Amino acid sequence: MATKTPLQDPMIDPRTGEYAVIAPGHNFKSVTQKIAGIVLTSNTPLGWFGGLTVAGGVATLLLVALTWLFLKGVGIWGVTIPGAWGFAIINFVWWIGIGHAGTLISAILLLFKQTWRNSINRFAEAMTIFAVVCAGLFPLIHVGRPWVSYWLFPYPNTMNVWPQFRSPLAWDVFAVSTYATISVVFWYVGMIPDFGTLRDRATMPLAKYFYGLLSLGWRGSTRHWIRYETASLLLAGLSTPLVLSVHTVISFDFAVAAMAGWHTTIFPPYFVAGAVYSGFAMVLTLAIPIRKFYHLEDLITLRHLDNMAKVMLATGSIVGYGYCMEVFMSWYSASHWEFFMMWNRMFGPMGWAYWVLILTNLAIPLTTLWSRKLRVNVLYLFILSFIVNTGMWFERFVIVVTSLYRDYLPSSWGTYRATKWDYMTFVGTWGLFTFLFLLFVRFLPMIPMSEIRMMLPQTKVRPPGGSDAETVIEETV
Amino acid sequence: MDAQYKLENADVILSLDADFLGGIAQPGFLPLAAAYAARHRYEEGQTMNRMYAVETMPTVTGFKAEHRLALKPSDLAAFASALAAGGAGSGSAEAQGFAAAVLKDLKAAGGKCVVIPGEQAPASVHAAAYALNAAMGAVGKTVVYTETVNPLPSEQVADLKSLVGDMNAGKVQWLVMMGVNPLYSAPVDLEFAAAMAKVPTTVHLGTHVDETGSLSTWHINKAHYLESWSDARAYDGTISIIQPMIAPMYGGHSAHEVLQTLLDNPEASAYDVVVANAKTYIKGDFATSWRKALHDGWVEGTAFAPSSASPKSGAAPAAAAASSGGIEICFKPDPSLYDGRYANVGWLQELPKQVTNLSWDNAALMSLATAEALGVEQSDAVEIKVNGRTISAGTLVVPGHADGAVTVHLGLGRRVEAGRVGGGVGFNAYYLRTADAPYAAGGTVTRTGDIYDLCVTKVNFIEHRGSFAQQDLNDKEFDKDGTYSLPGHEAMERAIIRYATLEEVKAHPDFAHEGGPGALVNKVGYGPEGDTPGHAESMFPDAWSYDHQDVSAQQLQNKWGMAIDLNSCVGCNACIVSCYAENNIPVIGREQVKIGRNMQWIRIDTYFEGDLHAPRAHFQPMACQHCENAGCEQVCPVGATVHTPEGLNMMVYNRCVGTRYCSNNCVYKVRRFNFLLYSDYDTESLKFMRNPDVTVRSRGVMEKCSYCVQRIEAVKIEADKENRAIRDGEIVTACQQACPTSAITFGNVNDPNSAVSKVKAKERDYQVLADLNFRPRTTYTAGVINPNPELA
Repeated sequence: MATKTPLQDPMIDPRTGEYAVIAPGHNFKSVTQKIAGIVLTSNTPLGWFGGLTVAGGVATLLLVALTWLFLKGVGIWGVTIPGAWGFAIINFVWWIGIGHAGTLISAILLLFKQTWRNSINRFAEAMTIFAVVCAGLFPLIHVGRPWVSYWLFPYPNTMNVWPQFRSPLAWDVFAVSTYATISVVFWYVGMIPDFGTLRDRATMPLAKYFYGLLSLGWRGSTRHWIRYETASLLLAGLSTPLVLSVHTVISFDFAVAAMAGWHTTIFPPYFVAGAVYSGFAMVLTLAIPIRKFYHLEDLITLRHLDNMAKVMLATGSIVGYGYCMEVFMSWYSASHWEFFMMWNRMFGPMGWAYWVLILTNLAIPLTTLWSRKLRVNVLYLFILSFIVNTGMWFERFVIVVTSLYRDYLPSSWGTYRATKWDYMTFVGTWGLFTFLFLLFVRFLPMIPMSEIRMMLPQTKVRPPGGSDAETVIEETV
Repeated sequence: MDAQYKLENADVILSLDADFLGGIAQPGFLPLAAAYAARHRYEEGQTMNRMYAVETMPTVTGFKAEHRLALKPSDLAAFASALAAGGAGSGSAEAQGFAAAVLKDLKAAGGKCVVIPGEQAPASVHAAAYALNAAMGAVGKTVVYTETVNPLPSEQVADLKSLVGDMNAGKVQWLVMMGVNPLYSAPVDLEFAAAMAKVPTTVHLGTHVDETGSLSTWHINKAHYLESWSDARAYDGTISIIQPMIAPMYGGHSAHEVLQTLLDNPEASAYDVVVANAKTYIKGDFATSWRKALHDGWVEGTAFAPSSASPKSGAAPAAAAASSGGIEICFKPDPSLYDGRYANVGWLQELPKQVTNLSWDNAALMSLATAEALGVEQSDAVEIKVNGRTISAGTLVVPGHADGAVTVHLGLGRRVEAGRVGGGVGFNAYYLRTADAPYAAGGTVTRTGDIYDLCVTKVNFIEHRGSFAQQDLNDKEFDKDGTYSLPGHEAMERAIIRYATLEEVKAHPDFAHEGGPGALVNKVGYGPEGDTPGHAESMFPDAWSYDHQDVSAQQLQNKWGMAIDLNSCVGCNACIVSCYAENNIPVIGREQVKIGRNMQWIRIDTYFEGDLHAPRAHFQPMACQHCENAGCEQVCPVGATVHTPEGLNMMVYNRCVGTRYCSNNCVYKVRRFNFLLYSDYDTESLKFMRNPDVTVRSRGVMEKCSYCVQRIEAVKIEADKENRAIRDGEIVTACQQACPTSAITFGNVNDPNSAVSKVKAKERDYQVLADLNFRPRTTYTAGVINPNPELA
């Protein structure tokens, strides 16, 4: 860890003073063995089974909550008038925000040739997909009549009725479904070379068949690689605008409405920054235990953690600027509605939520992340990742609840109190997310072998005695 | 002897605990409310009336009054007596000043004044009112005495006492109880249940097997009054014939039939009896006059003639004195359920009670100062003890309640026998009520330490002076000790409620509009928001053009609109109940109401302005405003709420998926959502209740006021059949129909001669939240009050 001086630590590049992206001493074989070994081992760690059981148990809560929900209706939740949106929308925005880090890592950092991303992009993308699964659940179940929620999709029908395209919720449908589709395709395409490797290394017939099917006949020929790289770049190009657009569209759910506290132009950039912020926090939440459990400290190094913390510092600062501007504009606008909303948000009956948000999202991270020492302190980052995601959840809580419960007509003021079913649904999605993620780390290569191999010193030097397929990559990139 | 008040002639009204606008407790209140409101309008060539109210429990009457004095029952009786004696009495300085001003004003009215005593006020208050009316020369002008509608006037409590005495003495072999429930409502010290057990045969005639019915030897199923022929007398003596609307649904028998059976004439039907009786009072050709009476609903010329009888003198018993140091417990009939006979009506249980907005509950109602003195806060459970009997109740602080007194509403706490709706709701205040002290009694109130979470539809958010409102409050005359209602304060700041005094409105007729030269911006603090932005200021094209002529039909295009006169609205809730009936609104129960899911399409917003110890309250009926720039329409992802060419904002129930986005974006928060399956599809009897022209909404869909579109369409069809335009006034919405004071006007805004256009053309007409540019179709006529300058 950071206790060693830079010169003593073999992980630190003596020329730059930076932590290495890959620990020295790795070669193609060792990388492949290490990553493929996790998937192909017949000795599944007991801890994995334990984790899966716990996650599955928590996910069962979701099943129970949804069953009751479909039987009774959304009235089992705390939503009411005036606060007709509650946990479901908060969780939706929170989960979809978390997904953004994966897309940012896999797309934008690819275009910017940030090679350090290679170690973490696979499971960040997986995180995106599972987060979108959890997020996508909420718009479907939060409607009063979930059995007709497909009416939000534009499909030809005998009634000749289309969605109402002026509604931001209709835009959401396109934003989220596009996002989910591109993310899944990008994720899958990225895994094809690795599936080929797994197919070749698998010994069990079932695994061989399974990975063979998934590898789509990958043989590692130059032509394959060229197409693979082209497809990756194209998908990265498609995903890049999505990083910005998806949360922008989701922020429109609020910004387009007339409620004070929602009706503000700062939402799109501040939502996007907040999404990336929370997404990187979630990557840390996942990466830190996994690298420990599977001894991947040599592939997910302190360099990665440091870089992610830097991204959080940058995006967190944008979010913080957003908060300041919200407060400033509510005063500067001289609008009574804005002024009252902000006063009520800070000092009203639910003012505590605002201060929790400021503490966890702003005060703690933005004062500490400037320190390099803390940025490479694994335990601190792990704790901080939870703090930030708590803060980001409260940010959505503050936006959704405190803008609604005391709005224009004082006669209809009310309050919002979540029920046990709200909590069960929310906690259940954590279970679902973790359950899916555990399946992922067990059955799919969580670190892209092909991309890691590209970063090894080996690729720079042609090994004596023949050309290895992988060495061609250097030219094609 | 009964008093008939002619409020149309009264310039000055003094109410001594009389809630003649709120209804239920005051017989003959409907014409009183209508006459009051007619004289309370601010119109050319009319002197606006002025009302003073002295009361314990705040009522809508008290809050409509220009000046209101809150006194506990014993003080109120003393105040009335002193007033009648021509002096100010020995009350507080405030009460003395009030009395002096009232007396002066009453005298100045030259007989065009009236003093109305409350039905539940003690006899001394009635005597004082009688004396005052006589002294002010009001008799014959604004008050007329007639014989009483009760054919056998008697001391009813004394009669009941002697009956119980006879029952206990074993002198009663047969007790027939018709349409009464003494086990529930008889004075508790008479121990009616014990006495009834000594009667060998008891017979109960009632629509329900209630508390009394379940313990009677015989229970006879009573036909509802709409299931049987009968006749009745109105408060002024006018006779009505009651016709059955439906055959008895459960084979019930009317009181006529039961009495005929007891008279050994079981063959006689109710109809025979009513007709036979009618022959005694219908003059002229019976067949013709009978048909006319049925058609009109009343028999002409049967009202009482004024009589010159005077009340029995010296009979007035002293008002029940409060035990020293205790709290006066004041018993009032429930504003929604009356004495409890309507406890099994879901609409009325769920209806937010006047002023307090309590629903599915009654409470220990007290003032802020009393609550502080007792050391209790809102929703604390308290124990009320009167004469050794105790009940437990939740505390509700009512702004403007008299100090030193606690009001409890009768009519709740029915046992399960009351039915599946009314059983077990609230507490039974009859348990504290004795024959000697039927309206007020001395008692003690102590905190139990428990919490009783009351069901209140609108929370008044009583807040102590906060930093936010500091600067505004310093400029205001209210907030004497830093206690105000944040919603009430905000309603004023946001110009949701606009009103002015008579003098102000004369000087500045356009006071209700910002920007105008006479705008009272500083008075109500309209804030920095402007009035409705003009269309030229908007970048967007006008989405709806209503002003064109429909060339094909050669008719004026319909453009529906509503105007509500805040001067006339007395906050009586009649509109809400009629909306329940018309629009099949479900009853959702206490737990759902408590968390804010009440389904009423129209509500009466009640705002308390100023210091909560003596606030001014404002009532504002609020339903869907049918905005031209409706926020709800824009955000619905499936187009389930849309605009009609006539300007109605419509819900398409079967297209609604229930995202509730529309409700979030409705700045008036008038949309109601079926969070669960609220409609009861299974109960057979409810199927009769429903309006066949209106959908019964299922789970998961949004609903809201439709301006009674079914009535609009029905009229349009009739007009089409007759190939004519719709006449003004032909369409009457349910709320408008039920409004006793004609506060609501509805019609075609495109027609400059329509009633609604004329109301909207008034200078006092304003839009609520106009600056948000939703362009609501419902507008409000700003209130005008006529305060006495001496008390201002």
